[in-house]
Amino acid sequence: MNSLRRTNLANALFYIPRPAVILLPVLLRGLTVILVSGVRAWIASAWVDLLFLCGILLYVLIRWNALRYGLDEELLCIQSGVLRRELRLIPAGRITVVSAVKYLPLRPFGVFLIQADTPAGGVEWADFRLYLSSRDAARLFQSQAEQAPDLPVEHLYRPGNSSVLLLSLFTSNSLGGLLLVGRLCEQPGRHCRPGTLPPGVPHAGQHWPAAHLWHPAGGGHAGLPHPVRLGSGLFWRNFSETRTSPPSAPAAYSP
Amino acid sequence: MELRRPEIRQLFLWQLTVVLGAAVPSLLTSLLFVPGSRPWRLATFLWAAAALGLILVGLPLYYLRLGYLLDGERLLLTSGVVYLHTQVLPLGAVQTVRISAGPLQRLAGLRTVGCMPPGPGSRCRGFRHREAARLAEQLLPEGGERA
Repeated sequence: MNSLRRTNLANALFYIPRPAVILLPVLLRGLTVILVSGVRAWIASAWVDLLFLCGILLYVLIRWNALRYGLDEELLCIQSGVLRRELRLIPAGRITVVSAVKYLPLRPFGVFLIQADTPAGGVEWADFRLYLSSRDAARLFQSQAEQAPDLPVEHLYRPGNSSVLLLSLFTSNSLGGLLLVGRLCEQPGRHCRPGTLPPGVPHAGQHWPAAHLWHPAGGGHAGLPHPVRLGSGLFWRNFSETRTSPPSAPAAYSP
Repeated sequence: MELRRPEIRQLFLWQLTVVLGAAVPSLLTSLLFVPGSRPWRLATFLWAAAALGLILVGLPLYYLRLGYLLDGERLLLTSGVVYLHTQVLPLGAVQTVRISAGPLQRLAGLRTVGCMPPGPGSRCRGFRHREAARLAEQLLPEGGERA
């Protein structure tokens, strides 16, 4: 196994909410001191609040530092946990769904939420779920890119104007709602076409993670079912690629 | 082929956990009852008997029932004291493998290997670090070729 890499610092943001609950009594204490004794008294005792804040930030950074990932040949590894450490090994051939979500607050930083799931994964939580920069995502999933064949897009499904209008009539009763629904319905078709993907988003034949995960070195895609790719979302852009069964499954399940 | 058992240190770890965990009923008993009184004595006797029963009988029995056997294409797991469980897991069904360790396990140099098929997963506890890595390799789809 090659050395594991740190994830994007954006992952640390999602460790904050739970320890931040400790800050609530600290905040209440500060407000009480301000109301009873004034701002000066609060400033004099603010070091306690800062100490708590620093403690939480340190905890979050330590947890983020413990979260590492790596791709060795066809094996995806995630190491996590500070007290209870865990190393999760996911064979690339087992991955059935890969999605890249571009959250609105993270767009300026070029950070994606990359999720990869196997049939063993939970309904609500993917087996692999990390926030990665587009460069790291490409590097992670592109180790076999040279040998990976290009995936042609055979069918492009895009809702027609009449369908959009009909759906809008049923789902909204205001002009703003009509426009919003129309815009939302327009997204899938726009993002399914490789040439029109937003910059930085992996797509077929270039950086699309699933293409490389499902086509490891020496493996072809002849005879395999073509994946379904879906792009959607106005603020939370979601690009996912799904295959009904992993290529290795039929051979692996045979007695 | 014979079933393989976890390291004996795993049993000691469980017993240590029960000893440490006994601090909770001990504290509660002291808080709820006057020390030396009859209810306090009764409560102390109950939790001490439960802890001792677990340490001396329950956990050793549980440990003795634990076992695993890897025979090429299947992983056989046995467990249970009152209800005896035997689980057979085809290696082809394994989707992900996890190696984990809590703080006490790490101090004892032990690991837990979990394998997740579609459906309920299973865990094998009490492996040495190297042995856990080897088992994980064998459980993965290309384990035979990689090992």
